Amino acid sequence: MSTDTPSFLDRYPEDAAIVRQAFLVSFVALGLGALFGIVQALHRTNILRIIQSADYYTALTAHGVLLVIVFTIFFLVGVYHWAITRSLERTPANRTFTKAWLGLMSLGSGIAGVTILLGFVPQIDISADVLFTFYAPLQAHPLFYAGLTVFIIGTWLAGADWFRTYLQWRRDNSGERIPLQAFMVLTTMVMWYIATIGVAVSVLFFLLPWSLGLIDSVNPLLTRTLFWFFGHPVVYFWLLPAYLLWYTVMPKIAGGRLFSDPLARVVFVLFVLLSTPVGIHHQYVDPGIAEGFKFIAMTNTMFLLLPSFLTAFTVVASIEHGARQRGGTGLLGWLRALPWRDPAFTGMALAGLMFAAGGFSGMINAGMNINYLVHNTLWVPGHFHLTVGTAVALTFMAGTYWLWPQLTNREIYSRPIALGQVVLWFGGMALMSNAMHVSGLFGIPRRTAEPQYTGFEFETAFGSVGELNIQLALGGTLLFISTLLFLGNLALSLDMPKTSGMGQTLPPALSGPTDSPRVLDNLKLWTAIALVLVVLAYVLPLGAIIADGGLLGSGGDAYPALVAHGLAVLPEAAGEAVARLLGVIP
Amino acid sequence: VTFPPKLVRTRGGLLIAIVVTGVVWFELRTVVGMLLGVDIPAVPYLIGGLVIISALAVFADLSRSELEEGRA
Repeated sequence: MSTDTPSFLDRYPEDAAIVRQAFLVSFVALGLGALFGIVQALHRTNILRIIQSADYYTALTAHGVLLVIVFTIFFLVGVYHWAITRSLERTPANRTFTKAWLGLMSLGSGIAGVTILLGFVPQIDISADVLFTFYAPLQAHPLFYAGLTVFIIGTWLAGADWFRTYLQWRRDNSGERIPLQAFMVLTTMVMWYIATIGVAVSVLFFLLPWSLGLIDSVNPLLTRTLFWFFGHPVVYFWLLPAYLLWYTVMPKIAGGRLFSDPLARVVFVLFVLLSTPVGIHHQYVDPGIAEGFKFIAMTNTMFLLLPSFLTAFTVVASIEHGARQRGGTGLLGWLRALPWRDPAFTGMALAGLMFAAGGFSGMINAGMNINYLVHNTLWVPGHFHLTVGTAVALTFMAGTYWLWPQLTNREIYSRPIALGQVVLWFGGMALMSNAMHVSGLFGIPRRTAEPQYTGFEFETAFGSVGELNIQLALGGTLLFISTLLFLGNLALSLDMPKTSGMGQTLPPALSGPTDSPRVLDNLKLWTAIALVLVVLAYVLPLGAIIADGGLLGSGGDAYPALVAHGLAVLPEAAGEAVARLLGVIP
Repeated sequence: VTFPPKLVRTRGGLLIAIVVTGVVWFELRTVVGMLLGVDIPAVPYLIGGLVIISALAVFADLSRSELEEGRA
């Protein structure tokens, strides 16, 4: 829709370039990550094998790191830079600094990415087949950890850049409420700073020195726990930019206004408070952590349902308002008045629908006892392909269809293709994720190139494993085609003629910021409470882990453990086991 | 802020309705299989679903066209 409003490119050309560059890296990672995704989907279902099974972990690591670190976080910095600039109506104080953090993030991603991909080249002794969950005992080449470190420092500097812009705005606007989008950016970064303490300690003090040979061993449980200290809140780091788009952009596309600004602020504050002290729920089956600590993590996790439910209510209320403004009537009849032909709206709406399903499977994961049923099965990838793989990824793609014209002053090449693309993603994910969830319930493991063990058949309650495999492969193929359509459509958009009228405004909320208490904007208070909650949740478990296993563990070789070494110690271990059984050794 | 004054109907809505109904139909087999242990053969079930949803889609499209003609 053509407007008289100047576009983001018209108003902030240099910042539009920064956002485009961040998106460029993000989408390159998306393409590569999707390629490794289809390779895995076809490999583990035994439909098409173009890599050796021994290289499966390389492909899996590339898929995970490229998509959930590079694709998501580069998109985040792009969309957040857009959001902070437009909502505060000011550009960064020092453009060189902005370029520096983007450069550092790109450099770090490049180093880590190349290190992973070198795993496919046996002639070069560099690899990082450690998966996205890069804790011990899996060990990567030092370059991988160095790349990650540089990348994370880049994200910290990005946050510093945005906080500096905010502080300058605050000097000129004392007493004013923080604009909603800026509030979302700042609270997300507060959460990120707290969350990355865990991964920074893990990488700098343990994994990097260990991979460099400076220390002989690490405590695997300690590195796991530090990873999950970061590994759970990172999912909200992926999700919150999607929330920003759902709260501030989607109501506008629907023809309405955000239902409640205060509720949106409450949601982001809750994420600051509750995102980090929950990571131990990923470790329910870890034997070195007492059940009580796991129970606390579970309870905290269940509290996180609250912001999700608040979001479901607020976003649906907002789009219903939009639909009624467009003439929609009736209890559910308003749904027909929504702009379903618009790929930006439809993509975000379908992403939200999938997120609801992902939330339900997430509750299963978070339940301490039910988790044992699905832990390390294909159920878990089924869950996170609904959340990060759809709620986040599909929202980002849909958001791009809305944002890209404002960053380039060019129309999207084909809106029908874009609409088909988001619908294809939804359908493909329904197939793939369903197959993964059901396979997980039948006990089929995740993270393996060969899920079907020789001489063993998985029992299915209905259908067959073969049918589930076809479903998974078909879904994965549709997702890959959808990715190609997205990237192709965007690439062709680069060649569209420049035009005016691409600018968009975002309408104010129906219930504005003045309807909420000012304490919501007190970032220092929320940061302090969040830190206290983290200390309460983690000090005792970490202390117990260190007391039991030592800061650097009790020794042992890094993976890949040599088979010869295993064979050498096997007779002794077997002898001891037999002796214990016979009661020779008390 | 200005809003479109009247109800906007597009075939985009029909597309999404077809896809979402298709997914619900597909998932229903999983629910019946997992909760009730009833193994519905996949091929006839999916073909049946395709036929029913296509028929509903054609009906919905025709009703919409008649409604719009009536309004015009």
